[in-house]
Amino acid sequence: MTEQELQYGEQLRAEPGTMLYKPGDPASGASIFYIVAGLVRLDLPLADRLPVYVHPDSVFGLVETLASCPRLTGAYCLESSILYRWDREGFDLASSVSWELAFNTITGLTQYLRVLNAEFSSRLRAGS
Amino acid sequence: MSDKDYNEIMKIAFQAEDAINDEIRRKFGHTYPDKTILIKEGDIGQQIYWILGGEVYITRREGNKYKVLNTVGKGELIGEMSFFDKSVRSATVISKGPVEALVFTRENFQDIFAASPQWTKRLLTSLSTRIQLMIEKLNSLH
Repeated sequence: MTEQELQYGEQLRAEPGTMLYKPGDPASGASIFYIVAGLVRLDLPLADRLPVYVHPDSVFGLVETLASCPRLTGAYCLESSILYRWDREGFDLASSVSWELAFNTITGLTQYLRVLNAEFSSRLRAGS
Repeated sequence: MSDKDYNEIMKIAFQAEDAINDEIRRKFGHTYPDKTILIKEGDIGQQIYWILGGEVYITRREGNKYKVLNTVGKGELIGEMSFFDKSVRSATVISKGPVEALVFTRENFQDIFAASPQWTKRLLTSLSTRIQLMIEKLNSLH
């Protein structure tokens, strides 16, 4: 990630245990995150927790912003983390100048969707 | 700028990008005759198809038969899931009549992006909506 893309966002540092957002929160303002360093866990509010781990160079928080809905998951910092966050306009600007950012973001979403699809199929098979 | 104004500007900007120029067609365009297999179930995805004209059948093997799941056409992307995350192809895609498509590989993603940033934004929005729906479906199991 270069300064060119990051200039449209703001940096923040989060300590372990920081809840960046929780399910049901509005996804407005600077709601799209990029993880530079550290580890973040996304928790789906299911009866049994389904954690998805977000590693450096990944984008999260985008789904609700693009789907125009409240937060579907919680986001929790497991480690001391350095993050960037954009509002939608900043993200659109950053991703329009960086094909790497667009590629990484699409790849992250397809991987996330793949986990959800597989989990759904698995739970159907198990008759949950 | 309000969300409404911003969305309106984005919409206009996207419309301006709609035209795919001749250079892109020459570089990445392919024409497939009727009943060509574009994607085979079980393979690893190396290419993504952007349909410019015609239609394709999306089929999946169920036991000893192939079931047609859907028919998609102009403007649709085919094969994006396995293309990006390297999962195996989940369906077989067969042309229904002649089909014109842009065909991209991982190596020339930069060219796709240059051809139309709109394409990537549409894909991001489409994936986000699918994730939202799948989370709702998972929630409905409980």
